[in-house]
Amino acid sequence: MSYYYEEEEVDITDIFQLLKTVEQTNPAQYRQLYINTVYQFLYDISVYLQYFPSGTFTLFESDSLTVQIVNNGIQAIYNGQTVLGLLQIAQTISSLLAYDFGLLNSFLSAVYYNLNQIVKQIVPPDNVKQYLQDLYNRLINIG
Amino acid sequence: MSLCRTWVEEELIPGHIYPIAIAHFMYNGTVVGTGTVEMKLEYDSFSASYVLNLTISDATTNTYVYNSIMILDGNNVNVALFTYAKSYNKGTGLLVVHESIYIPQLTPPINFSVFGLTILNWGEVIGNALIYGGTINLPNTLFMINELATILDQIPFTPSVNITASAFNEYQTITCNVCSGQVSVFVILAYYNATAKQIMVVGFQTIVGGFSSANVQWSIPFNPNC
Repeated sequence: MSYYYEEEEVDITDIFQLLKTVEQTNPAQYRQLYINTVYQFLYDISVYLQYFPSGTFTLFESDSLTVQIVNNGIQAIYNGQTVLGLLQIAQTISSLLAYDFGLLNSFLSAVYYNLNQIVKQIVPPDNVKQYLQDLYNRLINIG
Repeated sequence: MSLCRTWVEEELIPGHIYPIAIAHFMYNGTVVGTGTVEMKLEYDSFSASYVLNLTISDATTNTYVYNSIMILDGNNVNVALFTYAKSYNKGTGLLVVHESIYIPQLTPPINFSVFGLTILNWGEVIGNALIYGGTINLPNTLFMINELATILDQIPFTPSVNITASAFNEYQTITCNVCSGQVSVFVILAYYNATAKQIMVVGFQTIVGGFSSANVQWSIPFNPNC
């Protein structure tokens, strides 16, 4: 007795084509997927907020929307209105980007760039600097 | 003590408060004298309340016996009733009675001022409105906050109403899909004005283990006897 099955071939090389198909067949689900993607990105950042110093750090800025980290919290200013909930910020960003994954890619690039700049501004506390210096000295001595 | 039901229903809920104007000295429910009221608002950290201290005076030479005092506002609505276990005689001289209205003040688990918002205190707003008159905003937004103090979700509070013998209750079933899977979620009920950047927290509760659907209720207790 033998079994035979045919593997279904799924071409995911063009992820944008796949997303386009979802958008056309189920627009509501597509928008939900988009918002979830943005939300998850913001949530991942939020986990590290406690390590930020107090102050305001801008993640994204456009004419109508500013997303920033303010004293260890994420907030958005959209057309003068303060938006605080991560989900609402994700919805606002999604709407602004017209649920376009290509634009989301550009948005994320801008945020990554800004995060990179912010990290350079953050000066570690003296004890952390001392620890790193000690670690460095130890490593080069081992060598 | 609680504020009167008529005041809660006719002024607090619609949102327009008239300043406290006069006091009625009463004996077994009958008005026997009229007094003036001076007010001062203070914060009492021991009871975590704003305290509206009332100095009720009757400088007339009238004499009477009273066992309760009703406070009325400029709209002639009963605001608060102070009842006493025993009766007191007013002689021909000046009568001065000190009473207090306590309005509890919550300290929310997150300091919204870090977002550049102006914090309004529920007790302070009501206390000042009772002194000077003014507008009161009831809660309109729920914030869901995780243990890392991240605001996960904010949704409009558009409650149903249920009135019992001693409280005005507002309740709503909420859904927060991003709250599920969290270690715990603080649900904060507040008046929030995103344009004016003002926030006034009126209640909060903690839901351990997160949730995707929950019932939210908040109550304004009132004194049904005045």
